[in-house]
Amino acid sequence: MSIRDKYAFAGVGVSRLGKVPGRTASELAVDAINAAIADAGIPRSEVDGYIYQPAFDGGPEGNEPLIAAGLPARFAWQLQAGSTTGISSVISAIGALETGQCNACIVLYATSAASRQIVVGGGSEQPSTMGAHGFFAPVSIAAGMAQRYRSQYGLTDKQLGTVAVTLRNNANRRPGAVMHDRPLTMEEYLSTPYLVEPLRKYDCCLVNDGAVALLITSAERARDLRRPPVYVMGYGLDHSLRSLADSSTGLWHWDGFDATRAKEQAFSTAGVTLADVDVAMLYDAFSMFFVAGLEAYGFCGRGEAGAFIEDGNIAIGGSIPCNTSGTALSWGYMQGFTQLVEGVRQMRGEGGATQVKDAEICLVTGLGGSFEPAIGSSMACCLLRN
Amino acid sequence: MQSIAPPTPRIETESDRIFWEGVRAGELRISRCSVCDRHYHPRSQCGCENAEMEWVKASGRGEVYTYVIYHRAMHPAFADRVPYNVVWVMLEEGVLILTNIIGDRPPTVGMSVKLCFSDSDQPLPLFTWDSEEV
Repeated sequence: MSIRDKYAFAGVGVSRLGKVPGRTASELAVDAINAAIADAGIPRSEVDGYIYQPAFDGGPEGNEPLIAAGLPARFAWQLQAGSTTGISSVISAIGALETGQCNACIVLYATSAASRQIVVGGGSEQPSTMGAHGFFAPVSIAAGMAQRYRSQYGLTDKQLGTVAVTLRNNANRRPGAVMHDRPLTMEEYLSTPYLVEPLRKYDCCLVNDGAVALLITSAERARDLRRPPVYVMGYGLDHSLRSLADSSTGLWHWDGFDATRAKEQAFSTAGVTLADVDVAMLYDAFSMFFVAGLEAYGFCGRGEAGAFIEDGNIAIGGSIPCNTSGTALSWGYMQGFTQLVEGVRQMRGEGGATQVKDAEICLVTGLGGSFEPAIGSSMACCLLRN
Repeated sequence: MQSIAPPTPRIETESDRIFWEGVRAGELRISRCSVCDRHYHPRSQCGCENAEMEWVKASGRGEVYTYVIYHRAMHPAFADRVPYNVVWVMLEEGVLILTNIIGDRPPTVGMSVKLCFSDSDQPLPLFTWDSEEV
Protein backbone atom coordinates (compact mmCIF):
# COMPACT_ATOMS: atom_id res chain seq x y z
CA MET A 1 0.00 0.00 0.00
CA SER A 2 1.28 3.41 -0.92
CA ILE A 3 2.51 5.74 1.82
CA ARG A 4 1.35 8.72 -0.22
CA ASP A 5 -0.21 11.35 2.06
CA LYS A 6 -0.42 8.88 4.97
CA TYR A 7 2.10 10.79 7.07
CA ALA A 8 2.62 14.47 7.65
CA PHE A 9 4.84 17.05 9.25
CA ALA A 10 2.96 18.42 12.24
CA GLY A 11 5.65 20.54 13.88
CA VAL A 12 8.77 22.52 13.05
CA GLY A 13 11.22 23.81 15.60
CA VAL A 14 14.27 25.97 14.97
CA SER A 15 16.65 27.18 17.66
CA ARG A 16 18.66 30.37 17.42
CA LEU A 17 20.95 30.11 14.39
CA GLY A 18 24.34 31.68 13.82
CA LYS A 19 26.94 32.05 16.49
CA VAL A 20 25.30 31.07 19.76
CA PRO A 21 28.09 31.05 22.35
CA GLY A 22 27.54 29.43 25.69
CA ARG A 23 24.93 27.04 24.42
CA THR A 24 25.89 23.45 23.63
CA ALA A 25 24.58 21.53 20.66
CA SER A 26 22.54 19.40 23.07
CA GLU A 27 20.94 22.51 24.57
CA LEU A 28 20.19 23.93 21.13
CA ALA A 29 18.68 20.56 20.24
CA VAL A 30 16.36 20.73 23.25
CA ASP A 31 15.31 24.25 22.20
CA ALA A 32 14.41 22.93 18.73
CA ILE A 33 12.59 19.86 20.07
CA ASN A 34 10.55 21.96 22.49
CA ALA A 35 9.72 24.43 19.74
CA ALA A 36 8.56 21.64 17.41
CA ILE A 37 6.35 20.11 20.11
CA ALA A 38 4.86 23.50 21.00
CA ASP A 39 4.34 24.29 17.31
CA ALA A 40 2.45 21.02 16.79
CA GLY A 41 0.56 21.39 20.06
CA ILE A 42 1.05 17.69 20.73
CA PRO A 43 1.32 16.24 24.25
CA ARG A 44 4.94 15.35 25.00
CA SER A 45 3.77 11.90 26.11
CA GLU A 46 2.89 11.07 22.51
CA VAL A 47 6.32 11.82 21.06
CA ASP A 48 7.85 8.37 21.28
CA GLY A 49 10.24 8.21 18.31
CA TYR A 50 13.62 9.94 18.02
CA ILE A 51 16.09 10.06 15.13
CA TYR A 52 19.06 12.36 14.89
CA GLN A 53 22.09 12.90 12.72
CA PRO A 54 25.48 13.20 14.39
CA ALA A 55 27.04 16.39 13.01
CA PHE A 56 30.55 16.37 11.45
CA ASP A 57 31.72 17.53 14.80
CA GLY A 58 30.22 19.71 17.44
CA GLY A 59 26.97 17.73 17.43
CA PRO A 60 24.80 16.76 20.40
CA GLU A 61 26.08 14.31 22.97
CA GLY A 62 24.30 11.13 22.01
CA ASN A 63 20.82 10.95 23.47
CA GLU A 64 21.33 13.84 25.88
CA PRO A 65 18.74 16.10 24.18
CA LEU A 66 16.20 13.30 24.22
CA ILE A 67 16.62 12.84 27.95
CA ALA A 68 16.68 16.57 28.68
CA ALA A 69 13.52 17.12 26.64
CA GLY A 70 11.82 14.30 28.52
CA LEU A 71 10.55 12.41 25.51
CA PRO A 72 9.16 8.93 26.26
CA ALA A 73 10.93 7.48 23.24
CA ARG A 74 10.65 3.85 22.29
CA PHE A 75 13.75 4.14 20.13
CA ALA A 76 16.60 6.58 19.65
CA TRP A 77 18.33 6.17 16.32
CA GLN A 78 21.49 7.82 15.14
CA LEU A 79 21.47 7.98 11.36
CA GLN A 80 24.37 9.05 9.16
CA ALA A 81 24.00 9.31 5.41
CA GLY A 82 25.68 12.65 4.77
CA SER A 83 23.25 15.31 3.72
CA THR A 84 20.71 12.75 2.60
CA THR A 85 20.17 12.13 6.31
CA GLY A 86 17.34 14.66 6.61
CA ILE A 87 15.19 12.87 4.05
CA SER A 88 16.49 9.45 5.14
CA SER A 89 15.36 10.27 8.69
CA VAL A 90 11.89 11.08 7.37
CA ILE A 91 11.83 7.75 5.52
CA SER A 92 12.95 5.94 8.68
CA ALA A 93 10.38 7.75 10.80
CA ILE A 94 7.62 6.80 8.37
CA GLY A 95 8.83 3.21 8.43
CA ALA A 96 8.60 3.24 12.22
CA LEU A 97 5.15 4.86 12.16
CA GLU A 98 3.90 2.49 9.47
CA THR A 99 4.93 -0.58 11.46
CA GLY A 100 3.58 0.71 14.75
CA GLN A 101 6.92 1.40 16.43
CA CYS A 102 5.90 4.93 17.39
CA ASN A 103 3.06 7.44 17.24
CA ALA A 104 5.03 10.59 16.57
CA CYS A 105 8.68 10.96 15.71
CA ILE A 106 11.19 13.76 16.11
CA VAL A 107 13.93 14.04 13.47
CA LEU A 108 16.74 16.31 14.54
CA TYR A 109 19.95 18.02 13.53
CA ALA A 110 22.01 20.12 15.92
CA THR A 111 25.48 21.60 15.82
CA SER A 112 27.71 24.05 17.62
CA ALA A 113 30.29 24.04 14.82
CA ALA A 114 30.69 27.83 14.80
CA SER A 115 31.24 28.32 18.53
CA ARG A 116 33.58 25.38 18.67
CA GLN A 117 35.43 26.68 15.62
CA ILE A 118 35.16 23.43 13.73
CA VAL A 119 37.12 23.63 10.49
CA VAL A 120 35.17 21.54 8.02
CA GLY A 121 37.56 19.63 5.81
CA GLY A 122 40.66 21.44 7.00
CA GLY A 123 44.01 19.73 6.72
CA SER A 124 45.15 17.52 9.55
CA GLU A 125 48.25 15.68 10.68
CA GLN A 126 46.81 12.35 9.60
CA PRO A 127 48.38 10.51 6.67
CA SER A 128 46.31 11.22 3.58
CA THR A 129 47.15 10.47 -0.01
CA MET A 130 44.89 13.28 -1.17
CA GLY A 131 46.38 15.57 1.45
CA ALA A 132 49.89 14.76 0.20
CA HIS A 133 48.81 16.32 -3.10
CA GLY A 134 47.25 19.27 -1.30
CA PHE A 135 43.62 18.22 -1.76
CA PHE A 136 41.50 19.37 1.18
CA ALA A 137 37.95 20.36 2.02
CA PRO A 138 34.65 19.35 0.38
CA VAL A 139 34.58 22.65 -1.54
CA SER A 140 37.30 21.18 -3.74
CA ILE A 141 34.92 18.50 -4.96
CA ALA A 142 32.38 21.14 -5.98
CA ALA A 143 35.17 23.18 -7.59
CA GLY A 144 36.40 20.22 -9.65
CA MET A 145 32.87 19.58 -10.78
CA ALA A 146 32.42 23.25 -11.70
CA GLN A 147 35.68 23.35 -13.65
CA ARG A 148 34.76 20.35 -15.79
CA TYR A 149 31.26 21.72 -16.34
CA ARG A 150 32.73 25.06 -17.32
CA SER A 151 35.02 23.51 -19.93
CA GLN A 152 32.20 21.46 -21.42
CA TYR A 153 29.26 23.83 -21.37
CA GLY A 154 30.52 27.18 -20.23
CA LEU A 155 29.59 28.47 -16.82
CA THR A 156 30.45 32.04 -16.03
CA ASP A 157 31.42 33.46 -12.66
CA LYS A 158 28.35 35.65 -12.96
CA GLN A 159 26.08 32.63 -13.40
CA LEU A 160 27.56 30.96 -10.31
CA GLY A 161 27.32 34.29 -8.52
CA THR A 162 23.64 34.54 -9.40
CA VAL A 163 23.00 31.46 -7.24
CA ALA A 164 24.78 33.04 -4.27
CA VAL A 165 23.19 36.47 -4.74
CA THR A 166 19.66 35.11 -5.33
CA LEU A 167 19.79 32.95 -2.22
CA ARG A 168 21.25 35.82 -0.21
CA ASN A 169 18.42 38.09 -1.36
CA ASN A 170 15.98 35.48 -0.10
CA ALA A 171 17.73 35.28 3.28
CA ASN A 172 17.72 39.09 3.54
CA ARG A 173 13.92 38.92 3.47
CA ARG A 174 13.69 36.22 6.11
CA PRO A 175 14.15 37.16 9.77
CA GLY A 176 16.04 34.43 11.58
CA ALA A 177 18.35 33.67 8.66
CA VAL A 178 22.01 33.84 9.64
CA MET A 179 22.64 36.28 6.75
CA HIS A 180 19.40 38.24 7.20
CA ASP A 181 21.23 41.54 7.73
CA ARG A 182 24.06 40.95 5.28
CA PRO A 183 23.27 41.85 1.67
CA LEU A 184 25.45 40.52 -1.14
CA THR A 185 25.77 42.25 -4.49
CA MET A 186 27.10 40.75 -7.70
CA GLU A 187 29.90 43.32 -7.62
CA GLU A 188 30.98 42.11 -4.18
CA TYR A 189 30.75 38.49 -5.28
CA LEU A 190 32.88 39.07 -8.38
CA SER A 191 35.47 41.17 -6.59
CA THR A 192 36.07 38.54 -3.90
CA PRO A 193 39.11 36.36 -4.60
CA TYR A 194 38.74 32.70 -5.42
CA LEU A 195 38.98 30.25 -2.55
CA VAL A 196 39.34 27.07 -4.59
CA GLU A 197 39.02 28.25 -8.18
CA PRO A 198 36.50 28.49 -9.75
CA LEU A 199 34.63 28.86 -6.42
CA ARG A 200 34.67 31.69 -3.87
CA LYS A 201 33.65 31.77 -0.22
CA TYR A 202 30.16 32.89 -1.25
CA ASP A 203 29.77 29.63 -3.16
CA CYS A 204 30.15 27.73 0.13
CA CYS A 205 27.62 26.96 2.84
CA LEU A 206 27.71 28.67 6.19
CA VAL A 207 29.28 27.23 9.32
CA ASN A 208 26.92 28.03 12.17
CA ASP A 209 25.45 26.88 15.46
CA GLY A 210 21.86 25.85 15.72
CA ALA A 211 19.35 23.04 15.76
CA VAL A 212 16.25 22.07 13.82
CA ALA A 213 13.64 19.49 14.74
CA LEU A 214 10.69 18.25 12.70
CA LEU A 215 7.79 16.28 14.09
CA ILE A 216 6.20 13.60 11.91
CA THR A 217 3.03 11.69 12.67
CA SER A 218 0.11 10.10 10.88
CA ALA A 219 -1.91 12.39 8.61
CA GLU A 220 -4.96 11.53 10.68
CA ARG A 221 -3.34 12.64 13.94
CA ALA A 222 -1.76 15.68 12.28
CA ARG A 223 -5.18 16.95 11.16
CA ASP A 224 -6.23 17.21 14.83
CA LEU A 225 -3.15 19.17 15.85
CA ARG A 226 -2.49 22.88 15.96
CA ARG A 227 -0.86 23.51 12.59
CA PRO A 228 -2.01 22.60 9.06
CA PRO A 229 -0.43 19.25 8.11
CA VAL A 230 2.21 19.10 5.40
CA TYR A 231 1.81 15.74 3.71
CA VAL A 232 4.65 13.55 2.48
CA MET A 233 3.62 12.56 -1.04
CA GLY A 234 6.60 10.39 -1.86
CA TYR A 235 10.35 10.01 -1.63
CA GLY A 236 13.23 8.22 -3.25
CA LEU A 237 16.93 7.44 -2.92
CA ASP A 238 19.77 6.65 -5.26
CA HIS A 239 23.48 6.04 -4.87
CA SER A 240 26.35 6.22 -7.30
CA LEU A 241 27.82 3.13 -5.67
CA ARG A 242 25.85 1.12 -8.21
CA SER A 243 28.08 2.43 -10.96
CA LEU A 244 31.31 2.02 -9.04
CA ALA A 245 31.46 -1.75 -9.16
CA ASP A 246 32.33 -1.78 -12.84
CA SER A 247 33.91 1.62 -13.18
CA SER A 248 37.43 2.72 -12.49
CA THR A 249 36.47 6.35 -12.74
CA GLY A 250 33.23 6.76 -10.82
CA LEU A 251 34.80 8.32 -7.76
CA TRP A 252 32.44 11.25 -7.84
CA HIS A 253 29.87 12.60 -10.22
CA TRP A 254 32.32 14.82 -12.07
CA ASP A 255 29.82 14.93 -14.91
CA GLY A 256 26.74 15.86 -12.92
CA PHE A 257 24.62 14.02 -10.39
CA ASP A 258 22.55 11.02 -11.25
CA ALA A 259 19.27 11.12 -9.34
CA THR A 260 17.38 8.90 -11.78
CA ARG A 261 16.12 6.28 -9.37
CA ALA A 262 15.49 8.77 -6.57
CA LYS A 263 13.20 10.96 -8.63
CA GLU A 264 11.45 8.09 -10.38
CA GLN A 265 10.57 6.54 -7.04
CA ALA A 266 9.46 9.83 -5.49
CA PHE A 267 7.35 11.04 -8.40
CA SER A 268 5.73 7.68 -9.09
CA THR A 269 4.73 7.34 -5.42
CA ALA A 270 3.42 10.89 -5.41
CA GLY A 271 1.59 10.48 -8.71
CA VAL A 272 2.73 13.88 -9.97
CA THR A 273 5.29 15.16 -12.47
CA LEU A 274 7.99 17.79 -12.35
CA ALA A 275 5.61 20.26 -14.00
CA ASP A 276 3.41 20.03 -10.87
CA VAL A 277 6.20 21.24 -8.59
CA ASP A 278 5.68 24.86 -7.52
CA VAL A 279 8.77 25.42 -5.43
CA ALA A 280 12.02 23.51 -4.91
CA MET A 281 14.62 23.27 -2.17
CA LEU A 282 17.73 21.87 -3.82
CA TYR A 283 20.68 20.83 -1.74
CA ASP A 284 23.15 23.69 -1.79
CA ALA A 285 26.22 23.02 0.34
CA PHE A 286 27.95 24.65 -2.64
CA SER A 287 26.50 26.73 -5.47
CA MET A 288 27.74 24.12 -7.95
CA PHE A 289 25.75 21.37 -6.23
CA PHE A 290 22.67 23.52 -6.70
CA VAL A 291 23.55 24.01 -10.39
CA ALA A 292 23.97 20.26 -10.88
CA GLY A 293 20.78 19.59 -8.91
CA LEU A 294 18.69 21.69 -11.30
CA GLU A 295 19.83 19.44 -14.13
CA ALA A 296 19.71 16.15 -12.22
CA TYR A 297 16.05 16.70 -11.36
CA GLY A 298 15.23 17.95 -14.84
CA PHE A 299 14.33 21.62 -14.30
CA CYS A 300 16.59 22.28 -17.27
CA GLY A 301 18.68 20.16 -19.63
CA ARG A 302 22.29 19.16 -19.25
CA GLY A 303 24.50 22.16 -19.84
CA GLU A 304 21.63 24.63 -19.62
CA ALA A 305 21.68 25.51 -15.92
CA GLY A 306 23.94 28.55 -16.17
CA ALA A 307 21.65 30.42 -18.56
CA PHE A 308 18.57 29.10 -16.74
CA ILE A 309 19.81 30.65 -13.50
CA GLU A 310 20.94 33.90 -15.09
CA ASP A 311 17.51 34.31 -16.68
CA GLY A 312 15.94 34.55 -13.24
CA ASN A 313 14.10 31.23 -13.20
CA ILE A 314 15.15 30.31 -9.65
CA ALA A 315 14.19 33.61 -8.03
CA ILE A 316 10.87 34.39 -6.35
CA GLY A 317 8.57 35.08 -9.28
CA GLY A 318 10.66 32.89 -11.61
CA SER A 319 9.51 29.69 -13.32
CA ILE A 320 10.67 27.56 -10.38
CA PRO A 321 11.44 29.54 -7.22
CA CYS A 322 14.15 27.71 -5.30
CA ASN A 323 15.67 27.74 -1.83
CA THR A 324 13.39 30.51 -0.65
CA SER A 325 14.91 30.91 2.83
CA GLY A 326 18.45 31.23 1.45
CA THR A 327 19.07 27.67 2.71
CA ALA A 328 22.62 26.41 3.27
CA LEU A 329 24.36 29.32 1.54
CA SER A 330 22.58 32.04 3.51
CA TRP A 331 19.94 30.81 5.98
CA GLY A 332 21.93 28.25 7.99
CA TYR A 333 23.76 25.01 7.35
CA MET A 334 21.93 22.10 8.97
CA GLN A 335 23.16 19.57 6.42
CA GLY A 336 20.11 18.17 4.59
CA PHE A 337 17.62 19.41 7.22
CA THR A 338 17.83 23.05 6.11
CA GLN A 339 15.96 22.36 2.88
CA LEU A 340 13.33 20.21 4.62
CA VAL A 341 12.49 22.92 7.13
CA GLU A 342 11.93 25.48 4.38
CA GLY A 343 9.92 22.99 2.32
CA VAL A 344 7.53 22.49 5.22
CA ARG A 345 7.31 26.23 5.87
CA GLN A 346 6.49 27.01 2.24
CA MET A 347 3.77 24.36 2.21
CA ARG A 348 2.28 25.97 5.32
CA GLY A 349 2.42 29.40 3.72
CA GLU A 350 4.88 30.61 6.36
CA GLY A 351 7.49 31.87 3.92
CA GLY A 352 6.80 35.49 4.79
CA ALA A 353 8.35 37.89 2.26
CA THR A 354 9.60 34.97 0.15
CA GLN A 355 6.42 32.90 0.24
CA VAL A 356 5.58 31.47 -3.19
CA LYS A 357 1.97 32.38 -3.80
CA ASP A 358 -0.46 29.47 -4.04
CA ALA A 359 2.36 26.91 -3.85
CA GLU A 360 0.94 23.43 -3.36
CA ILE A 361 3.78 21.02 -4.10
CA CYS A 362 7.42 21.25 -3.06
CA LEU A 363 10.43 19.16 -4.08
CA VAL A 364 13.18 18.83 -1.46
CA THR A 365 16.52 17.22 -2.26
CA GLY A 366 19.53 16.02 -0.31
CA LEU A 367 22.97 14.87 -1.27
CA GLY A 368 25.58 12.82 0.51
CA GLY A 369 29.11 11.91 -0.30
CA SER A 370 32.24 10.60 1.29
CA PHE A 371 35.39 12.62 0.97
CA GLU A 372 38.29 10.27 1.41
CA PRO A 373 38.35 7.89 -0.21
CA ALA A 374 35.96 9.95 -2.34
CA ILE A 375 33.85 7.05 -3.36
CA GLY A 376 30.28 7.56 -4.24
CA SER A 377 27.60 10.06 -3.62
CA SER A 378 24.02 9.50 -2.63
CA MET A 379 20.88 11.32 -3.68
CA ALA A 380 17.60 11.73 -1.83
CA CYS A 381 14.44 13.63 -2.62
CA CYS A 382 10.93 13.94 -1.32
CA LEU A 383 7.73 15.64 -2.40
CA LEU A 384 5.60 17.60 0.05
CA ARG A 385 2.14 19.07 -0.33
CA ASN A 386 -0.26 21.10 1.73
CA MET B 1 60.82 29.05 11.64
CA GLN B 2 60.06 25.37 11.77
CA SER B 3 58.63 24.15 8.49
CA ILE B 4 55.50 22.07 8.56
CA ALA B 5 55.44 18.90 6.49
CA PRO B 6 52.50 18.09 4.23
CA PRO B 7 50.53 14.94 5.06
CA THR B 8 52.25 11.73 4.05
CA PRO B 9 50.47 9.27 1.74
CA ARG B 10 48.25 6.81 3.54
CA ILE B 11 49.91 3.42 3.31
CA GLU B 12 47.78 0.90 5.16
CA THR B 13 46.92 -2.01 2.90
CA GLU B 14 48.98 -4.42 0.84
CA SER B 15 47.74 -2.61 -2.28
CA ASP B 16 48.93 0.72 -0.86
CA ARG B 17 52.32 -0.80 -0.14
CA ILE B 18 52.76 -2.19 -3.68
CA PHE B 19 51.58 1.10 -5.21
CA TRP B 20 53.98 3.27 -3.22
CA GLU B 21 56.90 0.86 -3.72
CA GLY B 22 56.21 1.33 -7.42
CA VAL B 23 56.34 5.09 -7.07
CA ARG B 24 59.71 4.85 -5.33
CA ALA B 25 60.90 2.62 -8.19
CA GLY B 26 59.76 5.26 -10.70
CA GLU B 27 56.62 3.58 -11.98
CA LEU B 28 52.89 4.07 -11.65
CA ARG B 29 51.30 0.74 -10.83
CA ILE B 30 47.63 0.12 -11.46
CA SER B 31 45.66 -3.08 -11.16
CA ARG B 32 44.21 -4.96 -14.10
CA CYS B 33 41.48 -7.56 -14.16
CA SER B 34 42.71 -10.65 -15.98
CA VAL B 35 39.12 -11.61 -16.85
CA CYS B 36 37.58 -8.42 -18.28
CA ASP B 37 40.75 -6.37 -18.85
CA ARG B 38 39.52 -3.32 -16.93
CA HIS B 39 42.11 -1.29 -15.08
CA TYR B 40 41.74 0.31 -11.67
CA HIS B 41 43.53 2.61 -9.36
CA PRO B 42 44.81 -0.02 -6.95
CA ARG B 43 41.96 -2.24 -6.03
CA SER B 44 41.98 -5.87 -4.99
CA GLN B 45 38.76 -7.01 -6.63
CA CYS B 46 37.03 -6.30 -9.94
CA GLY B 47 33.39 -5.34 -10.48
CA CYS B 48 33.05 -8.45 -12.65
CA GLU B 49 33.53 -10.42 -9.41
CA ASN B 50 36.99 -11.57 -10.29
CA ALA B 51 39.06 -11.61 -7.11
CA GLU B 52 42.39 -12.15 -8.86
CA MET B 53 43.75 -8.80 -9.95
CA GLU B 54 47.23 -8.32 -11.36
CA TRP B 55 49.54 -5.35 -11.15
CA VAL B 56 50.65 -3.63 -14.33
CA LYS B 57 52.78 -0.59 -15.04
CA ALA B 58 50.69 2.27 -16.44
CA SER B 59 51.90 3.92 -19.63
CA GLY B 60 52.04 7.20 -17.77
CA ARG B 61 50.12 9.07 -20.45
CA GLY B 62 46.72 10.60 -20.07
CA GLU B 63 44.74 13.81 -20.14
CA VAL B 64 43.38 16.29 -17.64
CA TYR B 65 39.80 15.41 -16.70
CA THR B 66 39.25 18.32 -14.34
CA TYR B 67 41.22 20.43 -11.89
CA VAL B 68 41.03 23.08 -9.19
CA ILE B 69 43.35 25.90 -8.13
CA TYR B 70 43.83 26.55 -4.41
CA HIS B 71 44.15 30.26 -3.71
CA ARG B 72 44.12 29.77 0.03
CA ALA B 73 46.11 27.11 1.87
CA MET B 74 43.93 24.78 3.91
CA HIS B 75 46.98 23.15 5.45
CA PRO B 76 49.98 25.17 6.70
CA ALA B 77 52.41 23.09 4.63
CA PHE B 78 50.89 24.54 1.47
CA ALA B 79 50.98 28.18 2.57
CA ASP B 80 53.96 29.04 0.39
CA ARG B 81 52.63 27.09 -2.60
CA VAL B 82 49.41 28.99 -3.29
CA PRO B 83 48.14 29.29 -5.90
CA TYR B 84 48.66 25.60 -6.69
CA ASN B 85 46.69 23.03 -8.65
CA VAL B 86 45.13 19.68 -7.85
CA VAL B 87 44.26 17.74 -10.96
CA TRP B 88 42.40 14.57 -11.91
CA VAL B 89 44.12 12.83 -14.79
CA MET B 90 42.41 10.17 -16.90
CA LEU B 91 45.10 7.66 -17.77
CA GLU B 92 45.15 5.99 -21.18
CA GLU B 93 44.09 2.83 -19.37
CA GLY B 94 40.81 4.48 -18.29
CA VAL B 95 41.78 5.12 -14.69
CA LEU B 96 41.23 8.47 -13.02
CA ILE B 97 43.87 9.58 -10.52
CA LEU B 98 44.33 12.62 -8.31
CA THR B 99 47.65 14.38 -8.83
CA ASN B 100 49.33 17.74 -9.50
CA ILE B 101 50.54 19.25 -12.77
CA ILE B 102 54.02 20.73 -12.69
CA GLY B 103 55.95 22.69 -15.28
CA ASP B 104 55.29 25.88 -17.20
CA ARG B 105 52.01 24.92 -18.81
CA PRO B 106 49.05 25.29 -16.42
CA PRO B 107 46.33 22.63 -16.50
CA THR B 108 43.40 22.87 -18.88
CA VAL B 109 40.68 20.26 -19.32
CA GLY B 110 41.70 17.83 -22.07
CA MET B 111 45.41 18.72 -21.94
CA SER B 112 47.72 15.78 -22.75
CA VAL B 113 50.02 14.97 -19.86
CA LYS B 114 52.77 12.51 -19.01
CA LEU B 115 53.97 11.05 -15.74
CA CYS B 116 56.87 12.40 -13.72
CA PHE B 117 57.78 12.21 -10.05
CA SER B 118 58.48 14.68 -7.28
CA ASP B 119 61.94 14.79 -5.84
CA SER B 120 61.42 13.95 -2.18
CA ASP B 121 61.94 11.15 0.34
CA GLN B 122 58.54 9.79 -0.50
CA PRO B 123 58.06 10.83 -4.13
CA LEU B 124 54.58 11.51 -5.43
CA PRO B 125 53.37 10.62 -8.92
CA LEU B 126 52.95 13.95 -10.73
CA PHE B 127 52.23 14.93 -14.32
CA THR B 128 53.45 17.52 -16.74
CA TRP B 129 52.36 18.77 -20.17
CA ASP B 130 53.12 16.20 -22.84
CA SER B 131 54.50 18.34 -25.65
CA GLU B 132 54.79 15.35 -28.00
CA GLU B 133 51.04 14.80 -28.04
CA VAL B 134 49.22 17.02 -30.46
